[in-house]
Amino acid sequence: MKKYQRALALLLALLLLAFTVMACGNKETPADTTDTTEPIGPQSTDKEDVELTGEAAEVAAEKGFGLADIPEISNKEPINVMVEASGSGDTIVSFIEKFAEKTGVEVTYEMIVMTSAYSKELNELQAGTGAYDLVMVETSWTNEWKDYLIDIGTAAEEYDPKGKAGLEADLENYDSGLLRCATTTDGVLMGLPYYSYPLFQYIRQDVFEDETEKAAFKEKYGYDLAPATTWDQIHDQGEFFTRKKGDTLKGEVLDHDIYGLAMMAGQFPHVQDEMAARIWGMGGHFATPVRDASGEITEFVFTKEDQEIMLQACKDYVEDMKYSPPGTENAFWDFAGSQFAAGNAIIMPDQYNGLWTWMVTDLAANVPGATVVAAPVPGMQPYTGGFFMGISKDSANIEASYWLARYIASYEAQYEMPLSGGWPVTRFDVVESAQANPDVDEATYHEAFGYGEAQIETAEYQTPYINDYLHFNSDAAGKLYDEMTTVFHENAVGVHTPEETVKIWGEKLVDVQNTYGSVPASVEE
Amino acid sequence: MKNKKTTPKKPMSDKQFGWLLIAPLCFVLAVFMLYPTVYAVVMSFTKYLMKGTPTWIGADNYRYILHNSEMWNSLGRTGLTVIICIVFELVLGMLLALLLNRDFRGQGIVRGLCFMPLLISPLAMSLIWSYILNNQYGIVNIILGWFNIYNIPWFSSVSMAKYTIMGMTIWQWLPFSTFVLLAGLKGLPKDQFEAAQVDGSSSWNTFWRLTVPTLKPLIMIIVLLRVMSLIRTYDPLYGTTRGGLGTETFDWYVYRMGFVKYDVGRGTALGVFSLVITLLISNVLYSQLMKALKKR
Repeated sequence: MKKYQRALALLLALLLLAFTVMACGNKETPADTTDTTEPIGPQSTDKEDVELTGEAAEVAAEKGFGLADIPEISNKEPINVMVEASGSGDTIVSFIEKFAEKTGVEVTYEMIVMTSAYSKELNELQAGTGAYDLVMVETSWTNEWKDYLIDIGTAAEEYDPKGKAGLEADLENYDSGLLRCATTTDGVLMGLPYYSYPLFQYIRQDVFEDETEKAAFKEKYGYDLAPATTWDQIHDQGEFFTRKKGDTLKGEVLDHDIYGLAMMAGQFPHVQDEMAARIWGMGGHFATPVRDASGEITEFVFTKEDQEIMLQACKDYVEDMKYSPPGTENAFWDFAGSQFAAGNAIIMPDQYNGLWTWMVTDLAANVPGATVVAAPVPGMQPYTGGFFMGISKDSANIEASYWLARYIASYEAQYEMPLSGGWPVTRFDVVESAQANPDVDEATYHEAFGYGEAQIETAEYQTPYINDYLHFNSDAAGKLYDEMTTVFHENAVGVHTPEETVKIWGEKLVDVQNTYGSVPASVEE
Repeated sequence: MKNKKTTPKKPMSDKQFGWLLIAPLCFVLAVFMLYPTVYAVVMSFTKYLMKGTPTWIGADNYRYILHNSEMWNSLGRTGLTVIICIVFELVLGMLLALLLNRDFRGQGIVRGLCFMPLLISPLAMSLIWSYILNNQYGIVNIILGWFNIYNIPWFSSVSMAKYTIMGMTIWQWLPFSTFVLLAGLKGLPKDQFEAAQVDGSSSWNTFWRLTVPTLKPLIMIIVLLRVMSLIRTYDPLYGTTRGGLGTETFDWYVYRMGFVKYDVGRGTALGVFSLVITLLISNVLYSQLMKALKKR
């Protein structure tokens, strides 16, 4: 009996060993890297597809690239794509499905929240797993990730019948500032932006146009109530519109407290974006690039002037927090947006264009008669950038990856996306086409593209300045971004004073840039 | 011709067979625990950013982390979390265990419900609490609003957020101490308690002089396991403050260094530092546990 027991125990031990060895050797395919991966198939999203009609279709045929222009793809290896998990992020799924149906290339996708995307993607890229054929790249990561990605021009040369020239012709229709953000310091375009997020002011148009409010504001501050063009005006407007239950707004008694400004001070990337709008808008930098005669950056210096401007921006931000709803200290865009959409806040001084459709529809539903208008942020240099699909060097199907990246950023897709549920576009031609298209009525245009004019106005002003932003010149930008998030959050919630914040940022800049970047950084004493 | 004499095979001794049985486990431990630990120790003396080859830099990474105020702040916060959570988990756990040790109707259901927090994934738990305690829309603040208590800044005040995180952790792990202590209470020797009753000992005196000392080994096990777990506090922050509002714990700091900056050298140095601290504390607690068991 004992003999059998031993044999059984030995067998179990061998089985355990065998399972362990099998588990070690089981190579994951890209499609099963996580359980959130969903295959493209008949189970499409509920969103209605919006087909191009009339003039828009003609414009697309003439100017833009669309699904029909994708040639036969010879490589049928399945590809795996990373997309952002958010309301408008879902929109992209139906376009991925269309691509898969048209080309016969199976596409799987993973959805990930922005706060986790950097580390998860970089982990796979650095390990060279090829788990993602296309990665979602935030434009401030462009320089840092250039060693892991294929430049889009090389891919065009190899797989596009029209070659690089065909791609370049299409580039004229993009927001040129965004293209600069997706380009390395040595001038290589790494991908085509398909999702943008420059910040704008979101303003309660109905409140700003109300005669009672206009008169009261003028009487108190001595100038007209209008979209702010300076941060001091933002402060005044924040103060003016912060009211208690029982006060009046537009002559009506309020049944709850309201706040002037909806901000995003939590320890999320967005507080950094808000601060960037203030710092750049006031003419400062997180660090000023120093260039040699050939134009190459030799150093980043946090100059005296930068320090003074950052100090002022930090002080202003803390002051403005007084006029934001309770909970702002741990907020990001969802909280700020919901406050605005619920009618609890009158202005979002700097908010992403991606929230536009949500704000227009929900505000109208929640607050009868309320309307929203977009305006450039004060200083007209908001945090800008976007996502582009970067093709991994370890992709097993660069051909299909290239065409999917082209399609998602194409005129056709970028035109349809805003109309099918909201999408922050990256091309100006789609905004212009929508304006000209008689099939798109005023309300539909406002809901889908209402921020477009503010975006174009901002981009035209801001583009020349982008070349000097630390974010799009440092190859340690992703790591600096994380530090900025912590530093400016701690300023906003009072962990550090504005003076301490400026000092801490200088120390972080030098530490991170000199440890991880190829160009040194210093603080001017 | 000489007869070929076959020597009977010597049977495997119990000791040898025992080694054979644990060989797979030793293999797994060597591959997945020992090797990574040794590798991490080696990497902690290098500069390696996941690109190129690691460069030997001696103790520079340790010098960096030991001179880093963020590290000390996060370590201090973790220490506070460990102390407060363990105290509350033990005190409340004991009270609940004493309550559940009594016979009452529906005790099975109550015990089952008390166990539920432990079954929730810590990450999901942090997301659930972030909604429950949302400043404006959270159910807790809405209910408090009925009593004219408005806008408690659970996660949006520097002075409050870390205690809210601790509260969530205590809520989740309270069943662990409760049920370990309940098991201990169920197994207490009755004769000693009957003797104490005969001697006229008060309830408090019996509890303090008899129940607690008898349960000491279990209390030490709870403290040992919870210290080791609390030093690695990470998940409750993920869905709530993400280390903001002065809540960054040591493990969150390690995560940022290792998986946001991808600084393998500094990240592993922090990991080794954490391991040493955990081993030191665990060693002290383990020897206390052994002493308590010997006394028994």
